Amino acid sequence: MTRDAHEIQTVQRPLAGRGTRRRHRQPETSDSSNDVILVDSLSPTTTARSRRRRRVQNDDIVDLTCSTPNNVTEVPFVDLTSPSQLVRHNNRTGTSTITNNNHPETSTEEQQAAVLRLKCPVCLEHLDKLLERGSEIRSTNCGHVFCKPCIFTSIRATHKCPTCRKKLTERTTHPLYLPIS
Amino acid sequence: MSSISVTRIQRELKDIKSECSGQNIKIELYNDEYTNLRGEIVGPPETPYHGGVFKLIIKIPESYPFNPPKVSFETKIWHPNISSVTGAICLDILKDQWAAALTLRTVLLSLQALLSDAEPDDPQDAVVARQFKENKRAFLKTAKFWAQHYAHAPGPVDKDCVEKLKKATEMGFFKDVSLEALSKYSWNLETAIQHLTN
Ligand SMILES: [Zn+2]
Ligand SMILES: [Zn+2]
Repeated sequence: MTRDAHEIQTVQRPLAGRGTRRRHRQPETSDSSNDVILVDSLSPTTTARSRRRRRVQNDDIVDLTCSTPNNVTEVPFVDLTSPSQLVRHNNRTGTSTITNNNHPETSTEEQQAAVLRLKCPVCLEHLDKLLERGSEIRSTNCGHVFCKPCIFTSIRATHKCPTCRKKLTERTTHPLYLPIS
Repeated sequence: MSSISVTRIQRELKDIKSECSGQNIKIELYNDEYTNLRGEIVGPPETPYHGGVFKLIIKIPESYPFNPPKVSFETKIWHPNISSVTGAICLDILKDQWAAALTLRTVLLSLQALLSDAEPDDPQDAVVARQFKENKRAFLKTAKFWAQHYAHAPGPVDKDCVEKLKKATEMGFFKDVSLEALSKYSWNLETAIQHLTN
């Protein structure tokens, strides 16, 4: 069972999707352009509405994905900003696990390889492929990581972070220089 | 179809093949243009939908993933947040709570979660929601019977449902219409027949 860390993050901490329902339909937007402007979900009325709603716990979603025993060892998410954790991807078994950065057995190369298995959550391309192509990796003020074309297209289309839906502009993102030799 | 939406769907399909074995969800292309897909979720345990296979119609807008996919149930289902007539779904992540980092896989998992945890106060189907709140026994009986009838859920079928459905069809009403009326009137045969005759 292969699963990349960022996807686990999407499922287990889906700030964006909590599996709740809403009564109010979003106005239909035209499909003719990529730069469709979505109605901002952070407007006061929407926010008030969503507070009133009972939310399905994120754990509920997780439980469903972890219904088979094989999945039990999987770890919720990887915080790139925390130096204490890293994902290790085992190519033989196809599993990803998080190990402690300080662990003596973990080589720097392994750690780097593991980090590069992460993907841009919008285009789903692996970071190593993106870097190979010379694409810039960018982080948002809310700490989420994307390739540059994807985060800029997202901001133009929705003015929001694709992962947590915080309000964003191009200025509230910055390049991310991964310490890779 | 924009190139980003096509690439995204291609990668999602590839990922879902390698990642979703044992998760009781499935997504396949329906045409070659990546605009039309079919999904499948299996009803989760401890629900009246348990073991039923529910087919989903998935339409990908040109602006995907910046706008949500349009998803509806192809298999008929009795659930407060899903229309028993059209299969339309009331789920926030398919509307204003969508985010580009969500995927079809997370949508299908959220739908499975919706089957486990209905939200009758925010209904898509008012009739079902009222029954859910006012007559939970009838709701569970109906939801289970629908899952067995339409989604091939396993287990012994409720004899009362079978008999009443048979009676209604013997009177010359179509099976689907009869089932709808009986479900709506919580298996009161007389009221259902009255409704059908009017
Ligand atoms: Zn990207
Ligand atoms: Zn964010």
